[in-house]
Amino acid sequence: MSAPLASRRVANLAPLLDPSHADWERHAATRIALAPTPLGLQPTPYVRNTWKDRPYGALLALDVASVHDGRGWALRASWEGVSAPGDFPDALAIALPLAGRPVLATMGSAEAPIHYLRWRADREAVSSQIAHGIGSSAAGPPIAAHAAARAAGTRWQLVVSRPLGAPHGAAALQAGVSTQIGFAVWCGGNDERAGIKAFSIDWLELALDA
Amino acid sequence: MNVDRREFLRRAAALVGSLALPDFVPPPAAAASRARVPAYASWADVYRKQWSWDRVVRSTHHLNCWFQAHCAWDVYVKDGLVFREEQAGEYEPVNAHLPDYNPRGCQKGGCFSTRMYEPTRVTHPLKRVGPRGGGRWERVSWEAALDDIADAYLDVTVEEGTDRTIWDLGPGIDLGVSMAAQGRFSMLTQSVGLDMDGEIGDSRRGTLETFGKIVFERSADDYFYSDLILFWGGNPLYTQIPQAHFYTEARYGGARIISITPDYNPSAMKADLWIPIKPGTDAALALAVCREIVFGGHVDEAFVREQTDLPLLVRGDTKRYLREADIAAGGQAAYHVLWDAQSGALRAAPYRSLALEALVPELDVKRTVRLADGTDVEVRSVYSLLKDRLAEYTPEAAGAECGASPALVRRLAGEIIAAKRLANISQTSLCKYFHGNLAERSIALVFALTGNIGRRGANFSGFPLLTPDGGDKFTIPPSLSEAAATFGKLEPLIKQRMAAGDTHEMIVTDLGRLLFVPGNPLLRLPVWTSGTLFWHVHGGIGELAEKSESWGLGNKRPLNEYVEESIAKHWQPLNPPPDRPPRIMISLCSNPLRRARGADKLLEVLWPKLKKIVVLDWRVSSTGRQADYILPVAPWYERTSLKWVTPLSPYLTITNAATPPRGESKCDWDIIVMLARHIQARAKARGIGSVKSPQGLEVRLDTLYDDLTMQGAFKEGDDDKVARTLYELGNTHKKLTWDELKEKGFARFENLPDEPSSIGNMCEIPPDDSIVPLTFHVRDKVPYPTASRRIQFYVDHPYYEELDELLPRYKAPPKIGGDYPLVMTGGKTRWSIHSTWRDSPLMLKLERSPEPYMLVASPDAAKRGIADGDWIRVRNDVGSFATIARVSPNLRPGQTLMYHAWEQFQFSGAGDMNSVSPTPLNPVELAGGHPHLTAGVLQGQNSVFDRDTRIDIERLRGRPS
Amino acid sequence: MSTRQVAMVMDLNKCLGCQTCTVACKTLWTRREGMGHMLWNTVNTQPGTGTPHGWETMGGGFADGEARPGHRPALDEYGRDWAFNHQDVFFGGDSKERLVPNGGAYGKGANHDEDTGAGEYPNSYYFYLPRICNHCTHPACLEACPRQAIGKREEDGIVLVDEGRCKGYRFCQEACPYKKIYFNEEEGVAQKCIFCFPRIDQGVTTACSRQCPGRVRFVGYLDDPAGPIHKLVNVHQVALPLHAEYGTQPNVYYVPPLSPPKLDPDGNPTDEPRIPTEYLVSLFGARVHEVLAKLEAERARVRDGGESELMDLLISRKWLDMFGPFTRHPREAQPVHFHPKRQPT
Repeated sequence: MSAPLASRRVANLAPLLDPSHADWERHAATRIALAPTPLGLQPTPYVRNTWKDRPYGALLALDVASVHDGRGWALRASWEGVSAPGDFPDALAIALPLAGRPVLATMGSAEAPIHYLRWRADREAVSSQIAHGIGSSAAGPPIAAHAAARAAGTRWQLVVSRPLGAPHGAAALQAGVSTQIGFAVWCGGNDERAGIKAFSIDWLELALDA
Repeated sequence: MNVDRREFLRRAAALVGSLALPDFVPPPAAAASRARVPAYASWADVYRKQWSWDRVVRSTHHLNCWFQAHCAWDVYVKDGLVFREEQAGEYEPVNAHLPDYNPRGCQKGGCFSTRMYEPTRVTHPLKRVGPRGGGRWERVSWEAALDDIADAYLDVTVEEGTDRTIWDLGPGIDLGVSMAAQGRFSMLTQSVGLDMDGEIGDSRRGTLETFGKIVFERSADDYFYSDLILFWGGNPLYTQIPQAHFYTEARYGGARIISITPDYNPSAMKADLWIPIKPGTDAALALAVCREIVFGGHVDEAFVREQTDLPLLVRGDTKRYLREADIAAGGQAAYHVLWDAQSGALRAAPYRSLALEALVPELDVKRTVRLADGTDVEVRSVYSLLKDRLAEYTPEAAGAECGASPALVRRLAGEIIAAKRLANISQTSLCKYFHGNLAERSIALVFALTGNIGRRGANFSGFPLLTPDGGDKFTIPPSLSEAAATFGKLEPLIKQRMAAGDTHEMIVTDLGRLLFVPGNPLLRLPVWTSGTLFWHVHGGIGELAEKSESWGLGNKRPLNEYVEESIAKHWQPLNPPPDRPPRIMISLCSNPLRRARGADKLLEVLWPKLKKIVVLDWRVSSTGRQADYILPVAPWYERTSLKWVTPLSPYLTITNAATPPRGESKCDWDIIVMLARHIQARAKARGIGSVKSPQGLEVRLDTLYDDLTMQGAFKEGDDDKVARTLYELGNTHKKLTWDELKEKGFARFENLPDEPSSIGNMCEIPPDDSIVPLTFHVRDKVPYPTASRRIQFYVDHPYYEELDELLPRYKAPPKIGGDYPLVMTGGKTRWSIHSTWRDSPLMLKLERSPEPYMLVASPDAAKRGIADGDWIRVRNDVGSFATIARVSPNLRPGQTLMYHAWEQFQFSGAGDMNSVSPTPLNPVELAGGHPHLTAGVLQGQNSVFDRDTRIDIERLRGRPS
Repeated sequence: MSTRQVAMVMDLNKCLGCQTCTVACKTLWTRREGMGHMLWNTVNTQPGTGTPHGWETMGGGFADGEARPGHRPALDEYGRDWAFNHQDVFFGGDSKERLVPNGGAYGKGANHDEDTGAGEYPNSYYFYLPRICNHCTHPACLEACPRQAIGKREEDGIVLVDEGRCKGYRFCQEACPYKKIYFNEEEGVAQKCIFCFPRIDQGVTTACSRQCPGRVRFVGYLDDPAGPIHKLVNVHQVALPLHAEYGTQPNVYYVPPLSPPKLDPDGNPTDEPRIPTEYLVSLFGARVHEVLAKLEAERARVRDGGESELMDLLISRKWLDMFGPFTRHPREAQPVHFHPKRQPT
């Protein structure tokens, strides 16, 4: 496991909700390695047969920085690959363990669910979802999550934000407490959706400043 | 989009509830229904909610579906709106052998509810702003609109005469509630209604020539009894959707189907044999079949001796029938003569009955007889003359004309000869060919020679119509209490004619003919006139025929000479006469600018003559676009009405109001009654009392409303009461009360209507079996309403002699529009009933193309470098238009085809599909002064011929601007 | 596997190509936002490209039991929902304005090759092929869905998309070899023929079958010995699945079409039907030969005065006999969840 992803404390989160705000330059991004989800973990023969000879999840690196102000938390992600509008949107999901020790690659389990915040390029809202395994995601806690995205040439710049704490049963984020975080990225232009995506392979440590 | 699932479900449900159709989201209703929507737990409940309703009302669509008319529908209402319809499906089995009539209906009827809420719907009176056709309108009140129209009407009527106001009665007229209002208005004011049967191309001229009438048809289930069905002049899979199952099921019942048509059409697909022929050559094929029958010795002699004119004798010198008066002093001029083999002598043919009794008429007669004045003259039987005529039509010779191989001609003849119960489906296609009368006569001869007429499963197709017969009793008398006295005036005449041997059918038919004789001494009637002649003379369509000398029509004189002679001799009705231009036109269920061939001329010639053009419609049509007023009519789910049906589906089918009229729309009855009210009020205000019609009848303008409404007995809002009264006045239905009928929606006819437009069926309407028209003639030996009192193949009228149509024959199709290589054929579209659904987004979405298109045969397209989907220009001597080419392997090379009813505003660039159809009159249809070639209700008038239109086409670079 | 299976038999000798079925379905089910382009029921002219255009070449289904990749049809392939300019034409003040959808850029509609077919005059040929979701016994859509959002009802085998579970991944559209699944962009879910389950649940047959004026469609349980489906499919064996080689075991069966004879070069009729039987075999399998012969033989028997249960079935003199147990009148039914206060008539 690489060095923890630090979430620095800032006085005021508001300006940093803009992904192109200059203040983000003050927070060094961590480069996170991604890999395609294993074909064998795709849940149906159709999906496996269709994608066995077709590249997907080709994004190798996701640059991530994070801050919080004691009340709200924000994560800025940027990566290469802005797709033209098509059947499927570019998308990114942030995974946080909700209970137990879920396996990221299998999207958790009945005892160890994962809380996802999922952004997609064709919607303004961030959806909050809970997964108890592959293909099981369902509506999650109604947390006030927001996203702001900007396509800078061929590169996405995205800020996802949510309150600290564990409102409505969301995965907990607390100042001064470390947790785990994972990522998944879908390239819509390559018809990536569902389990066809790039993901962070395993959890990273997310360390929130006190 | 930013919609979460639960919010989405709520929205979806709200949309379903409020029927958020394009341009129709009434805000209060939408808000109300949204408030009522429960939070749905399940997506499945959204679907369950979609199939839920507040109310179901039995109704139908009263427009001119004609052959496929009248299907009982359940109309589903939710939140005050009609949201869908589904067939009632409650027709009882007629008997155990016949398939039942369920479910009836078609895709158009299945989406009429969507039409009610589309932008094409008119819901408020609209008055033109700026020039006619400029596309600018203002919403006006009923009061303002009707006052303005009433004043214009009074100006015209007082200054120029009662016959200057024209009712453009489209083919959708109901002969029911709407016509009760129009009929009383016309009866009282002597304003003129246009009979459009010929003008829409439904003349069935050859049938009239042969049977003395056009209206007779079986019930569709009777085809189930046939063993051979000819699709000949009809495309029933396409145009008889609700009853087409009887034909496909007849095949499983053992019948064979033979299709005879130029193109491999959707009906040919269901045939056991398809005989492709050149357009307009049907007569050649039919006569070749007749030749095989006659020369092969397969004539049903008993039938033709009794039922046809084949044994009647014709004088060689005059070419007229030999009459009893010719051969015997004191003989009857009305009696025809035959040669009786039994007695070996000339005998008068039976007159009061077809029964031959002891006579054995010889068929093949050629002999010299001595006339009463002592001269000897050669006479021949019609059969003998026909034999000579038929000899020319060998399978080889006919095949060369019609394009079918001799073997195919013989095969057709063989199957017909072998058939025990031969039937045909011939709609109104052949009569849209210039020489279609000859084709109909020739096909009728096939049926007569083989005795396939008037038997279960065996019949020749006439024109289908079945009308409830209460209308005249409501329309004609001053009031209902005076009905008996009004019609009582006819009693002496009826008795006299019956005593003289005329049949009930002849008398009823003749009473209908009085509609065309304004000011007739017998009865004050509404005034009807020939729609075709009206457009031809007053509308300017006749100008298009100025080049007709070069079209090969075969006329012996300039066309205008025939027209002038016919009008001068009152052979054909034209009111007002040529020197009295029309001034006001009120269109009811009509869209002549879409329909009339050469309609551009109407705009150019007729429109400037008209001071007011008023269109009553529920939608904006081509004609509405060019009107001064569009008055919003409530369509069929918003009112009560009843309407004629056809024997094909012999069920009177009524409409019921499922929802109130949208906006300020009103039913036709109300609008016409309100117009009368305004005319009366304005007349009183202006001090106008009465005027005289050109024939001298008094027309009271200051009491018009009182007279029309029978002193207020039937006034605005009384459409349901009028319908009930019409129903109760009629003799066709006795089993169900009006209230029961309202509930059930339909009722099988029980009796033959005693009514000019239906009497021709001449048969019972059995409760437990199919309808077999002409039974009264064939079984009961009642004479036909022809000059000879028989099925008549020899027409001894001077025009027929002049144009060599005394006997059935084949004439090569003319080149109408000029000598161009392609023939433009047409037909009813599958996708609309005339123009009613022509601009329906849903129907257009399901059709081959959402814009007008012409089917072009693959080789013709290739030759011109035209690919499927290309824009083309269609042109000939009289006009041109642009359309899209759809290249088809199913068209006969040389044939093009455009299904009908595209609105003018659907054609890009100048012109429309009628711009190339000059439709010259056929002089034989101007005949008159003859017992059965005389104008009557929906028959015996001039018609139109667009099927022989010659064109060429060329590729365009793209859509014309 | 479901306990029972409802199925449909469509008799192509009775189909008129009128699309009343299409309209019945459209007005009842697909009027919500995002459904404008949907025709869960289609009728196409064969041979032809069908709806979506070229669907037979789009893959999906199973080959040797293996899920086969398929194409996900685009809106243009289904035919778009068009916007018309009625208001401009009627009230825009420009007499030259013409009624044209989408400003003229409307592409190909769902029935673009209506009545075209193949062959050369006078031996051209075509027929109509109505299609709905086949509610397959081995549904490729169901098996492809990573969300298990597609289910097959235990009691009757109707295949339904659970729109609550569906995330719009659209693998089902790719996997369905019949291409009978649409995607609702507004709702973000896949939608398709639901075999009118709210009606079936109330004992009312489907809208497409009940509204079919051609009396083409039989409905019932495959295993109901008294019903028409069992008789046509299993007893008389004249109803055949479409493209059985796609491997999904479809539950819509077709009585293949007869056709008038081909003409020889002299224009004389031959003994050969004009629709090449090999073409029908490519759609309905090798048993086509046998079925066509049987239909003709039974017709001849009736013509000669004999009795034929098969012909009687196909005629269905009593219309309701076509619908097995689903003969309840729709106006007498009302989904139980709603409007308890409202009229049962």
